[in-house]
Order: sequence, then structure tokens, then C-alpha cells
Amino acid sequence: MEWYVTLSIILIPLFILMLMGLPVAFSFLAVNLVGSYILMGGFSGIEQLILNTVGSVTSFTLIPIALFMIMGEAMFRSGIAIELMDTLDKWFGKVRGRLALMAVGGGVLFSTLTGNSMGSIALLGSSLTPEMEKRGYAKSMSLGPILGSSGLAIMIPPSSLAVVLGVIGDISIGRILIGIIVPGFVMALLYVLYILGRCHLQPHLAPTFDVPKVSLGEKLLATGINIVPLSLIVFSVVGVIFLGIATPSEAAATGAFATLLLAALRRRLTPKVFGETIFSSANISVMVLLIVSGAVTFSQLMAFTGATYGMVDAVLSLDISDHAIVFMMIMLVVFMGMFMGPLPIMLITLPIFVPVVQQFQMDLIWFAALFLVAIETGATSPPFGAALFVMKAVAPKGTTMGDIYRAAVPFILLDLLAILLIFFIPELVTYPVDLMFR
Amino acid sequence: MRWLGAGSQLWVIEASEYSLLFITFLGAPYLLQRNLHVVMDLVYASLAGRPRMALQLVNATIGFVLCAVLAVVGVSVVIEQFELGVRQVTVMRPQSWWITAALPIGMGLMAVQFLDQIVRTLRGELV
Repeated sequence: MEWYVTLSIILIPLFILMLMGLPVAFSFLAVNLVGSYILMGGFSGIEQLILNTVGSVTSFTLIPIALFMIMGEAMFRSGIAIELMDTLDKWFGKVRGRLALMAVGGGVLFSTLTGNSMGSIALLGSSLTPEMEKRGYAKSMSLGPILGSSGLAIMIPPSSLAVVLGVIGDISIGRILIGIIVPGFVMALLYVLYILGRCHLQPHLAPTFDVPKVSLGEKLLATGINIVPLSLIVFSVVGVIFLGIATPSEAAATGAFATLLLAALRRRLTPKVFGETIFSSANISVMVLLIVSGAVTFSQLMAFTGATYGMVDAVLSLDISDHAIVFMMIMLVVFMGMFMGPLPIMLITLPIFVPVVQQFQMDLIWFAALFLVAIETGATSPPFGAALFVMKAVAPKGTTMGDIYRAAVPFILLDLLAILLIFFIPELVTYPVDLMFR
Repeated sequence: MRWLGAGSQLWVIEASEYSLLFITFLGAPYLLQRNLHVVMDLVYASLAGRPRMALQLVNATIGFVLCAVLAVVGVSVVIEQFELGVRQVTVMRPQSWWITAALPIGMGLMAVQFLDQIVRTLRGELV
């Protein structure tokens, strides 16, 4: 069979099932089941499928997913996140666009504790937008920065999507986690510059207001209590990987332990909070893992049938430059993000894209960083980016989807700018990674 | 731990791998019951009334057949492994059958869930 015939036999039903509203995990399972029956030799194909599915979840590299989820949940449920915002509030004086900048600051701080942007949006949205509304901020200056900066959660470790990416693409997870840090900060910097610039040109978008004076001592005290311990957690995740002390799974374990310890020391880790944290992080982990198990076997099926090989071959014989092809892949990811969630996109495209990038002999970590920025851009893109709906849920009453779409556009453009920067300056990703393994 | 000189505890790694497997397949039926699995509800959410019920019935039926087949074949794989006494090629060398068993158990439970969805849809309830 020609590769494109096999590919359409596999992919078209997958899309139809997903669009019909069958849960993503079961759509993958269904295609795997029928696919292995037809393409891998009947009944024994299904037996092989079962062994592969079991094998795909029995993997030490997937452990960080569960542990990163615990970190994020513990931070939000124990109230550490709210204290962070309060401290940040004390440091920002009377600056134009103060609340918008706080959104970016909060986004960065949260991202060092959680790998899931939905939590960040929910918290930043519910804590900052009422204040922004009261101070007369335009929607573009209130909703936009929150949407943009919550996405940083998947760029700065811990990042569960980075782990999924590493597992499916068979790329070093440790290196991805280190490689995406600088791109994450580049994005934050772009957001800050944009906010400052726009507020300077159109001051009416973000009226200034008087802020109660906070003494230096109080600022330092709050920082000491709320922000300094955070650096310990950051070190226990990023530091230990960077120094080569621990594998990502071990780092995730120290990170989760440090977060729980911090919550306990603050006397915030009541049995109730602990129970909720573990329960809801288990829920999300199961959700992710089941999809991953379907997708890993899916990519095995594709490779087995030769569809992957045929497609890689076809792409390689195209008469355009390798870089142009990679750029098209990244743009395709952004485009898919307008309609689909991050996980399904990663699971469908990675088994196809990674072999191609490998054939081009390009840096896989660099590609992974680009891919994650693209995923994050897609998640905030109209009409169906997942982040937009979370924003709608927490935004003040009377906010229309149109308001949110318009607010998101400038930040999507900034994300695209970040993609271009990383694309043309790969050192942003590769330099820290090289430092790490010297 | 490794770094602190406690040595690499291989059984810890293996035990956590197996627990990951069991968490996934035993947790999935619960998520199904609570409708917490990731769904692309683009088309689905825009429907109402009869078309929506019809789609719901189709989805539940696909899910039921899928899980039932996987559970049945899963059981046969488990029985085969049990009879042959296959072990994992790892440090702990556990019998393979009780690891593989996670899948048919989870799938069996989910088949029951989907069956329940079918029955409820036929009674005219929205799941």
C-alpha cells in the first residue's frame, strides 16, 4: 500500500471519531484496535496492541507528569499562589500598566511551580481582572496579558507538556526542560515591552492610580517569606537537572516534595488540602496518561505500517529548503491549535514530525522549544483555543468571546515573533543545553 | 537518593512504573463515570435534541464495543501468560500476567460504564 493510502486510512477515522465527541483517548484506542487488526495480522495484532499499550504506560519517563501535577495543584490549593501575587503587588509601585505587568510577573512566578497553564489563567483571571475592571483598564490591557503570560507555564519547568513531548518524540526530557527556559523568558520580555510601549502610546488603556506606600522593610519581609523559598523549589527541579545530579523523574519528585514541604511549613497543608491536591492531580494524570498510552501505540502502528517512513521520504524529496519545511510544520501546529487542544495535536503530529527533523539532522531540542511555543500560541488562538474558554469562565460578567479574541490577538503576534526569534537564533535554546552537558 | 549515596534503588523505579500503569487503567473508569475525559466538543456541543442523542448513542456504542473487545482479548493474553508462566525481563522479574491484568480490568469496567451510557441514552437522558 502507498504510504498516503495507509495514512489516510488511519488518520481520517481518527479525526472523525474525535469530532464526533468520542473522548480523545478512546478515539486513539479505536483506531489502534481496528488498525492493528487489519494491518498487523488479525487477532494476534490485537494481542500485540494490548502488550504495547501496557508497555507504553509502564515507563519511568512518564513519572514527572504525575509529580508536576501535584506541584501545581499544591500551589493553587494551599494558597501559596495568592501570597505570591500579594508580594508582587507590594513591589510594583505606581507604574503605567501596573496590573498588566503584574499579570506577566505572576505568570512567570506561577510557571516555576506549575506545568499547566489552565490553572494560571484561572487564578490570574479571577484575582486580577476585577481590580483591572475597577481601575478602568481596557479589555485589551486586562485580558490579553493574562492570556499571554499564563501560557508561560508550559515554557518554564516544571512543564508536563515538555515531558509528553520528550516521551512521544523520544527526546531527552532533561535537555528539553533546560532548553525551553530562555525562550520562556524571551516571551515574557516581549510581553513586558509591548505592555510598556502600548501604555505609553495610548495611556487611556491603562489609567494609573495611587498605590498605598509600602515600606522597604515590609517589601523585603514579604519577599523573604513568599519568594525566597520559591527559589529552593526552582532549584530542586531545574537546578538538579542542570547540574546533572538527577534525572527528570527524580527532579520532579524532589520538586513535588519541596512544594508540599513548603505548604506544610506554612501550616497550609491541612489534610483536606493534601487530599484534594493528590486526588485532583491523580485525575488529571490519568486523563493525560490514558491519551499518551493510546498515542504511543498509535505512533508504533504508523511506524509498523511504513506510513511514517513513506511520508518522511516524500517530505525529504520536496524541492524546498529543510528550514522551510520545519517552519511549515511549526505553523501547522499553530493552525491546529485554533481548533484542537495541546495534547491531541502533539500526539498526532510528533510521530510524523520528529523523524523528519531527525533526517534533516537538526537539533531536536531546538525543534522541541519551537514546538512548545507553537502549542502555546495555538492554545490562545481564536476561535477554539482552550485558554480562551478558561478565560471566559473567570472573566467578569459581560465579557464577550469577541472581547477575549480581540485581546488575545496582539499576544499571539508576540508569540509568533518569539517563534521567529528562536527560529533564527537557535542559540537561545542550544546555549544553556550545551552549558549543561560540558 | 542516588546522589546522597543511598545507591540507585532499582526496585523503586520498577514499582513506580507498575503503579503508573495501575493508576491509569483503574483511574480511567472513574473519570469516564464523571465525564472527565478530554473531549473535542466542537461539533458535539453545538448539537441539541435528537441529533445529539443519536451521536451520544453512537459514541457510547463505539466505546462499549471497543472496551469489550480489548477486555476479552486482554483476558486471553493474561490467561496465556499465566499458563506459560511468563516473567518480565527486569530486576524484580514479576509474573507478567498480573501486570497485563491492569488493562482488561480497566477496559472491563469501562465497558460497563459505556453500557450504562447506552441504556441511559435509550431512556432519553443526556449523559
